[in-house]
Amino acid sequence: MGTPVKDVVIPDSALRSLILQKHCDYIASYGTKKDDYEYFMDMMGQLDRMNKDEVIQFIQQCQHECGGIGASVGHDPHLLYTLSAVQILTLYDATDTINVDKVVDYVKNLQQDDGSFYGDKWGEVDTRFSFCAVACLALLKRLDAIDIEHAVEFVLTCMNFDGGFGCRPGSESHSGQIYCCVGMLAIVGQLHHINADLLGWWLCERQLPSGGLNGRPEKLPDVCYSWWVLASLKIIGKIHWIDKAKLTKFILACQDDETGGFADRPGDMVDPFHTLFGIAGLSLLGEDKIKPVNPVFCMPEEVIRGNGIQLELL
Amino acid sequence: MSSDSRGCRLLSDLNSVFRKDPEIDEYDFLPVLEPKHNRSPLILQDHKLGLEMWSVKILHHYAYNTLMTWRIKEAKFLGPLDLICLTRAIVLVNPDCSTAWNIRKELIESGDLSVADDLKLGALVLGKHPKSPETFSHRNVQNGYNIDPSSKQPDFQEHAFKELRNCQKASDKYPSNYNAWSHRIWVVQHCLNCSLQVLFGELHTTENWVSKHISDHSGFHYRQFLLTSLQKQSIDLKEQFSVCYRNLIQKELATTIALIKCYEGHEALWYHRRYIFQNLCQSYSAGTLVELFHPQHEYEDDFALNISQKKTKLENERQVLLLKEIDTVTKSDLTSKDKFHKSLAQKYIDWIQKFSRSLES
Repeated sequence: MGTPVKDVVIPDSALRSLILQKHCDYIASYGTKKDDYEYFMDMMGQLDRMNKDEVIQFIQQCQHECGGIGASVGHDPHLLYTLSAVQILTLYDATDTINVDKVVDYVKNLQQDDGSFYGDKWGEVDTRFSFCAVACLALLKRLDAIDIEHAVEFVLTCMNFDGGFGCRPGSESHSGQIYCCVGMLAIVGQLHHINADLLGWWLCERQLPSGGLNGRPEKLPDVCYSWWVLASLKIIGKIHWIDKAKLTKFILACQDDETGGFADRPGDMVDPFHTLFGIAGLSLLGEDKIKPVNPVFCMPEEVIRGNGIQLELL
Repeated sequence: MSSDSRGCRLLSDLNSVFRKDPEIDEYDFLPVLEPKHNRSPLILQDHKLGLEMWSVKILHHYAYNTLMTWRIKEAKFLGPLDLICLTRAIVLVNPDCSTAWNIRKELIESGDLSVADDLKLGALVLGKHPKSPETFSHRNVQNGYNIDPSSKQPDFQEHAFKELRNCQKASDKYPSNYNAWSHRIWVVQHCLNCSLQVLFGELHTTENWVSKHISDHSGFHYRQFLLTSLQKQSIDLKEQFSVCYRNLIQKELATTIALIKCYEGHEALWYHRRYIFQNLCQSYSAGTLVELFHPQHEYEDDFALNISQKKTKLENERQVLLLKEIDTVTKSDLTSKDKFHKSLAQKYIDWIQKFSRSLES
């Protein structure tokens, strides 16, 4: 008897077209009370439905004395949220509404002698933080503040025999970490260190018979990997190696036609996180109702270009 | 009763439960959706704590709001003991509240909370939330205190071994638990210095585990980490333990082939085999390096000749290994009736061929 492949079956009743307006309504109904929903409202061309002043004021309240930014008012600063804040302010062309010099100092001070970055003052190291640091400074046009050579060296120590990257030296390859490492190397123009054939092979093997992508071997497919795997493939110039039609079908099947929004898998509950990555993934796949997304920053391409940020992809 | 005073009451119930039994080793939420009796929704038995579902949200809401209004400095003074209790209530329900864990780090720094007590709470939380990233991140920092020799506690090694067991438990509870295995790797590297004894011991203890979790790629990756770390110390391994690294990796190949034979259609096993193949190829070239630094011939011409002969010999050995692998897989796996198994076997052959070609160029 055959072993069942760990995958899902897309029901015949699943949606086959994009219900864009419903997704906009879904996100708009979340309001501006937390954070992070702005990038894809922009991609869907409806950024004006968010209250700009309130969003900016909220971010200002989240900046701490040290320069770092927290997830919400009263929460501790961290590189993860500092990047989110800088991304949102870049969309609004409003980075001057916070103290940029302090943000730069915050990021700079988190770099260690080996080139790695702490996520915050407590000292956890992870390649995600290398991406956050570099992406944040690139958007602020202050990449000169850190030691890029060492930062690259550290990321490369996290490369595995399969061409992928893990969170720290010796850790397992993981699509999310690969996206961060490949994105980081793209920003600083060091993609030649990547073995694109080997890594592309591993990334393509993430596609399952349903068309969906998983993040690691023998895991279930998940819409958020449509972003991490697909964006990595785009950056290393191998996006044509996967079956785009099947992946599109999988992503569309994860929409909820009643509430709007995307779930991780067909039939599950929707959330803003998977909605962002569903929309961004469809953009990379060439959906013309969505603005082209930049594969490194997960922001509209026009914003990245408008800011004069040059990226050389493979 | 207002939900605030209810929350306050629940928090004090929770505190007294932990006072009564500091050895609580497991907790979970009980499917009781509304209060039925006029008694506390916290049930304690045999060091196990149950919280009726209806009370969880009220407790968390109260603890979270109290802590956050204090943090934003809009509320009255809270003492260290209050903070320890509030943060405990929060992380039991939402272990990914990093600010609550950070407050606990501050309490450790100020000497109000012991590292041991805090690690114990983390272990309890991992029992219910085995992949919680913030709990692992917090433990990473806590164990980090042991790296610095000046702050090393006398029982740091015992702590580190306990930590390995905690990771094991979390991996038992949640398959392919990336955070648990990455943390385990970090503990071996930073708290136990990748010592041969530890690497060896871990290789031994995980052997049985992976054979029972054949779909868990993270478990196999951990063995890859152990083997790579042993390979880096292969000379000491030979001198101190009389173990030849190549025998270890050959044994790993044999075990993996046996598992693939027993359990058809598991990607994790085939990925592990890829690692072993490339590692074996590498171990041939690593072998040359050692010999190159110990030239046995005195004459330079002979030496150069010797190197080129050795290179050819190695390339031949690699070629033999490749052909042997292709032959084994073709005979035993490509003939399988399981279509998926066959496709995995074919992909393996393609991969090792591609890998071998990349070594030649």
